Amino acid sequence: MAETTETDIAIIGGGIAGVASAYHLALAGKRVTVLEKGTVGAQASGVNFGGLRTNGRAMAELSLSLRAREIWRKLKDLIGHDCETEFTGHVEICDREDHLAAVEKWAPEANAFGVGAEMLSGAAVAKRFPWIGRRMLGGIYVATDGAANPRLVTPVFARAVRKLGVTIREQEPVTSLGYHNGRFEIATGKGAVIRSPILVNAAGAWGNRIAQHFGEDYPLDVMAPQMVVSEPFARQVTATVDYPVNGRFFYARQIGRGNLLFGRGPGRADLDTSRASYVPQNVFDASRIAIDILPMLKGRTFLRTWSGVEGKTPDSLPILGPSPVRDGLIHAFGFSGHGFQLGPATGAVVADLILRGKTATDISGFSPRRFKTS
Amino acid sequence: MRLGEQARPAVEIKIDGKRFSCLAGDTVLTAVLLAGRHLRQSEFGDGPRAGFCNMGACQDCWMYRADGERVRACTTYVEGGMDIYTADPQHHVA
Amino acid sequence: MSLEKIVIIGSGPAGTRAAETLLRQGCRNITGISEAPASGGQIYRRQPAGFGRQADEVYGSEAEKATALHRSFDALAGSIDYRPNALVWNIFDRKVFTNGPKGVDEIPFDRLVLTTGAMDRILPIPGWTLPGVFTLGGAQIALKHQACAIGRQVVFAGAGPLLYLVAWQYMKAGAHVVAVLDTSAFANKIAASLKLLALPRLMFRGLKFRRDLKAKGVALHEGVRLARVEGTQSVTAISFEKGGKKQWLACDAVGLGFGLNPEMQLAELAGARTRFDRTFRQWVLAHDGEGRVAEGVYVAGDGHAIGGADVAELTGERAAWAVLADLGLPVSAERQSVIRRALKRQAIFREGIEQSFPLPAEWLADTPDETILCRCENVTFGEVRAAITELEPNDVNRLKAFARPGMGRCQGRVCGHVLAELLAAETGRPLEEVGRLRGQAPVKPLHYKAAAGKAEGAVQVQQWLEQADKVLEDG
Repeated sequence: MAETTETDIAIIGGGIAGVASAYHLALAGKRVTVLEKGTVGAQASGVNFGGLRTNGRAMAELSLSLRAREIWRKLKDLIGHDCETEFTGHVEICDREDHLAAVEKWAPEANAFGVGAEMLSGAAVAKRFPWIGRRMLGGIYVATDGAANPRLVTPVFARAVRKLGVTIREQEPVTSLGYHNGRFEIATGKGAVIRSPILVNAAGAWGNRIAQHFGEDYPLDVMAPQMVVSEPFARQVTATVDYPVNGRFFYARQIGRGNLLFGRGPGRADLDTSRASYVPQNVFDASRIAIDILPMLKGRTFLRTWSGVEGKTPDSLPILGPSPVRDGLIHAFGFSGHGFQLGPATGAVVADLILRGKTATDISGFSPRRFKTS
Repeated sequence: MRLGEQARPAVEIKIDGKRFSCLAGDTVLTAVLLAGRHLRQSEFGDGPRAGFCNMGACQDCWMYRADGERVRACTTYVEGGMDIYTADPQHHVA
Repeated sequence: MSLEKIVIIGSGPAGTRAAETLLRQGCRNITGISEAPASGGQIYRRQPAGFGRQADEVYGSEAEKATALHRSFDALAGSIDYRPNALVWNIFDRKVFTNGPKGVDEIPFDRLVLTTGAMDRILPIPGWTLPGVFTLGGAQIALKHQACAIGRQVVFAGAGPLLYLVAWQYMKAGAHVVAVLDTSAFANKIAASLKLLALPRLMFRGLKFRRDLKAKGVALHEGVRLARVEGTQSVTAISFEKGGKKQWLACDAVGLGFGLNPEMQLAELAGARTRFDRTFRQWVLAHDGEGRVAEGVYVAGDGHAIGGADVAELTGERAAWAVLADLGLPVSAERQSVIRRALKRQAIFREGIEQSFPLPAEWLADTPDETILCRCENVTFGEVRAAITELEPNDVNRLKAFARPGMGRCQGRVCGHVLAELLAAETGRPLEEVGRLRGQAPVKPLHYKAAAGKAEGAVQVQQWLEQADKVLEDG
């Protein structure tokens, strides 16, 4: 006999988007159930770079990103733990004319939103960040950007959410999903059935599999961040740095304890096994860039590489908004490697859409309708 | 402390800038611990370290060369003129 | 004859016997990789050039076996592509990634034999990170490989056959052994004696060590509970409890160990699975009985399950026969059956050893909060306990993510099993349920400079950087 649970809102996916949605909905007094096939924050939300960046974001993401920045600043008050958040700034550095031109065009538009980006000359980059080992033509800096420990954020969020009365069911993959008599019916791998009038699809890289149950089909690809961490050393790298080489960003930051983290893809991921691989060639290429940009790494060693599974859309923007075909279904997936910083605000937007049917945050660029879905 | 094998040729190295005479075939770990009591300081302020497994597994004996390059003391052999440091010589704490 | 590319990692007893058997049976494309500068492994580790001690001085009662193994390897080294001084740090897409004298290299393989050995199993006690504390294996290497003692007044503490062997070797070499502190009571050994009799020579050798140590006036304490290594900058004493009585011994060095843990990360990266062995209270590699762990991947020696040097030789040969069978080459059923029978006796003896020297894991529940659990990242028992209570990790990998134990340079080699024991104890769950730390590349630290040397594969990166330089110069 299947255990059946009624709830106001069911959320599929215990990543940061799903758990933050639960948070904002629970604050409004809703009964919420989160279903997670593994453990909370174990996929893209837990294995990413941990960057909290507004700098360099697509215009379409800025409204959401700035809302997120406000939430991150108050994180400790919200969930009782700062999760190692710090706001030490983010700099994107340019040694190509075309890149500099693109950044110069972006800055005033972004600042109209209130990003607070500052253009730097090559000399200013060298002066402000003496640890950068290459001469630059210029750069763009956002002092209020920062980072947090992604391994902690979602589990700590989950702990806060549970205290608010939300049920988080871990190790419970969805085995079937339907809609009957105004209710979504979700059967789980533990034999339970959850019934709910509203469903949030925050299933990350698996988001399209959930959407397919309702006849929708999004062009969601899979990607795998490629992270490398150094041995600890006295802190020198004071800001997060982004540097494009050959069309791919090399990004790095040093944490307070002294380990330096960098990333550069592409990796390899598999949806069926939920496993992603770090491809060794990436550490060769990224190390070559690293010892140029961060010469203090030259004599040092790295300790570990890792990856994770992440969903990617063709325009690298998330799919966030009501389903075009099924009332009561809200999509929030496909964050394409930028979802960590956006996560807390994504939750707030999902709550807005459910509680008020609209949101003050501009999410027009994320509409599921921009793709042909069947 | 040495228990035997003292007839090997002498090799001169520098440890934290001080000359030290050891023997060919010594590991850096052996030489540095004959000269003093530790190889490095823990990065997290919990005191000096002096190796542990002596077989390249525990990674607790990484020292520095003069140019800042890390070197694992238990699996590296001394060479004449080697310049070894217990702290990063490239990073001077003000 | 076979030209399939066979890569053997490790050149200790298991790797040597595997290579020898494969060569003898007609394999002609063998690469042998060893992190050490010479063959022999840790147990039969060779002295550096220029050392003059004879084999019986270095290896004692095992001199004959050591010499035979070294000779076997020297005889075959010219017939294989032998790469000493090369660390294997990753296995990916059926390629072995090394870092050796010529930098980083990728070696594709058709078949892979892993003989990766073991390191001491440690239970942290307060003060265990002080200068002067080494593993038992580390203390033994100081003597064998460097003709040095770890101190002037040495205490050996812990459990396992190595405890008495190393103490005896130190005594023989003229070092001052203050005491042997055995955490296992004598009654455990009596209870295990029937099993130990499966290999009478080894059992009597152990008894001889005890007798000789006592005759030389070395204090033997059994059934002790280690309290603390004393000192601030280095070891000054060790304190312990025996029969409810607190004791204290002045010393300047401690050799510490509780048996061995297999080195399994590379096998895991090659696709092997692990299984929990209740008798040995540890994870071992799951193989088919002949050393097969994955398609074309074979394991042998202490790296697949702790068995000691003789088992390593036997399983090294066993893995070679499995490779030969899979290549469709002739196999000696007689040798295979000899090996099986010998391994059976060894297995009974090993059970006896485990029963004689159980891991005193129950100590962990009372280990003071301020004691360091992860020596790489300086994470204390208290911090790990707090993470367990506050964030309720369901397994050790999650616990590592929350509190950082096992994230440092050693990748959890030293503290991984302690973490599991503590998580199991604090949550009342069986040890096998809390899992084990997953292996991640690189399995040992790797210089960025070495990795960057392989970036010529990505010529574009180099070109990009050069072009950017040009732009700046022109500007």
